[in-house]
Amino acid sequence: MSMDARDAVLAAHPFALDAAEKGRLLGAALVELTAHHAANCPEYGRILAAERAGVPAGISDVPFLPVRLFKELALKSIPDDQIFKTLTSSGTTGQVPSRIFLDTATAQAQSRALAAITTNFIGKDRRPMLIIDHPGVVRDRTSFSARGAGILGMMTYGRAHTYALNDEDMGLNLDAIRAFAETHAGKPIFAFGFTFMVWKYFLSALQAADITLDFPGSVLIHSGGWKKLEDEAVSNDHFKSVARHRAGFEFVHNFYGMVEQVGSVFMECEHGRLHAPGFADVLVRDPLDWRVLPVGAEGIIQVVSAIPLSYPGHSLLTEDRGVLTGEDDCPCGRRGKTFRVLGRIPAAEMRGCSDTHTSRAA
Amino acid sequence: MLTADINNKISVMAPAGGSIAATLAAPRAAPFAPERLALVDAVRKAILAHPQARSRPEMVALAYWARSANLARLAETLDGHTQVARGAVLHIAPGNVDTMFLYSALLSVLAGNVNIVRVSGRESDALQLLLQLLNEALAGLPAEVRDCLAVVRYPAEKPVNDALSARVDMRVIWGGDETVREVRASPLPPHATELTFPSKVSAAVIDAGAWAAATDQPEQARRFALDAITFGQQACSSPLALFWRGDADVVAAAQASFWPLVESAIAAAGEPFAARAAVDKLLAEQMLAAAGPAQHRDTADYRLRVTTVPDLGRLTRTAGDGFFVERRIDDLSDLAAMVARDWQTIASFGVSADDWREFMTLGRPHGIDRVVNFGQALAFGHVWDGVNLLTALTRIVAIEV
Repeated sequence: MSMDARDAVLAAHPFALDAAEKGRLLGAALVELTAHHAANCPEYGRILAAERAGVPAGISDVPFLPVRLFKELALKSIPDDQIFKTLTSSGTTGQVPSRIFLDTATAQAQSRALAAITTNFIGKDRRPMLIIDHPGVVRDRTSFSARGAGILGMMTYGRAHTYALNDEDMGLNLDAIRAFAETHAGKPIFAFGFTFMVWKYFLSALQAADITLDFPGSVLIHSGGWKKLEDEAVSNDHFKSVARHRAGFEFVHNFYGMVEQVGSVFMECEHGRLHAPGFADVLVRDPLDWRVLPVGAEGIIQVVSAIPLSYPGHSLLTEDRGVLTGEDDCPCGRRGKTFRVLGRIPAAEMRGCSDTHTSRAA
Repeated sequence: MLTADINNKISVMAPAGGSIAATLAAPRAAPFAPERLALVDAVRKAILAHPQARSRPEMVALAYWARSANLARLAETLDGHTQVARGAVLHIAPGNVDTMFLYSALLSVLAGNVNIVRVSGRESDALQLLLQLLNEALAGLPAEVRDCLAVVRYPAEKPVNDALSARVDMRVIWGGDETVREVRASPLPPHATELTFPSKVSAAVIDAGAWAAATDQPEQARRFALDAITFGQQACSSPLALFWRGDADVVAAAQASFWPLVESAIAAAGEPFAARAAVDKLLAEQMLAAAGPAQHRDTADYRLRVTTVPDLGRLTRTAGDGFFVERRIDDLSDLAAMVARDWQTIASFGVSADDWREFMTLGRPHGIDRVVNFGQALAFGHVWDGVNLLTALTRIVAIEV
């Protein structure tokens, strides 16, 4: 099956395509992928048949799967012997994790895409890298948690990798941090971690111990969702300010992404907007009838990407609410749509006769 | 009596100034004793006197059920035996089918028992209103009558369940499989009995020919819609699936006229629309499609979604708030293999009582506790899940001299 459009859009600069070019190129790539998955993933084929879906007329016409479907079903468009690795979502305790099956082609496309985006934000030179997690998170390489996979993916873009936390108690590994700081004093470094881990075990721990680090010109990239921090009333602005003052991280970039759509990294620019790269896109939909909403209107976030070849994850409906903030018009100069994430879709009100006494529900 | 530790965990929501101790010590009564009838009547009047309560169909239904003519009919069902109260009853009420806890409690009040009713810790407007009305109603009654009912809240912890269970003669558990399992871990005294109402699912059956001939289609569709969506389709009695009896072409024509009417009825009901429910429906319909042959019906929006599954073999609760699966059947007997023990209510249109009796006798399905007309799925009756609650809440004294 020809994947010319997919190849082309993956080869393009991540922030150079304007709306018209992207509509043509990414649209064509998604048409290729839709046909590919319909032919190779029987469940996906049946889902499209039940919706009487024809060939998509453009990006917004591609059918979408709710991300939770990957918790319910093992969806793949490759034979089992081509599975190169399986990602699982960390998820909330007690929940079934998503299972995402990657072949080598998809994994390669993912790492190239990640490289293109990351170097756009931290430059091509590999910087000393401070990993804000404990070494154990990547030790078992046969079972990748989303966190471990994310860290391994990012390690490519740094050198002299140092873990900031201890395995035993997630406490600060001050010896390692101090040695790292002495070796790379005054140089811009690259720090990476998951939002909640960075906040709770690194920034809060530095505050509690009244330690100030100094890495001028450094970049912190973090991801993983704001829910737990919102519960603690920590805003993005506050997070950035503590990161700057406590650790000297001058540039702090949050990114939005999910294990169910590998390679879709929506990075926050210096103007605080999340950016869709050229090979991926973001749409905001009205849950009443799933029509596409314009800039400024709040709805449910849909993400599309040219990367997923081994599983039908090229068009997904997320569990998040969001709003588009513009297209091809961000002051940072990057082309493509920008958006904000407004949080999870609220849980439905329980109105049934069932299970209201249990400790879980009460 | 209860330890201070346990007592501190229990909040009495009604009556004002009530306590577990006062309720356990309150006098039992004869079934349908005048003071117990007066209590139920006071609740009925409080509902009807409150404009907000009067605007809620489920509360109006409760008041209607509590009218004296209906209670007199109920009392007659006890005739022929000497029946007396069981004693103290602990009710674990279901969550947000809010009125249900009152049916359960009021029946037991009428039976002559004293009652501790545990209501959900979750706040809802309807529950708040019911508690307020209950308090108003009880305030006008003498203390020894009022204390036959204590509506309480407590954290779902085993020590509290243990302490209360040890002091009652009967326990009534609503609220689904998990609740039943959890509460059952607390032992009852050897003589005590128990009623459980575990998780159930319900469906509807329409005879396509009868539908085509019906002269009141919009009204029937409205009743079906209310049966389904009043509690977000999460009530055990609300239909999740619809089975069409008839030949393929007759069924197709009936479906084509039925669903648009249901869609209008749902829109007219004006229930709030939840994004979460829409995502759940999308997920549910894709799960069905992924599993086998399925077709989604075109609907205006995600307030109503219908998936036709020609070989539907099992009924499970997936999405709610206006999500249906449908299948054609030639005959009721096609249902027999599908009906599981957890099937409760069939909302039926155009299928005769004789057909249902024959099906229950010859098909011997494991489940199905009631078959009702459209509009009656949520109507509470003292016979529920195959149990005559009133009989179960009393004991029969055999006087054979």
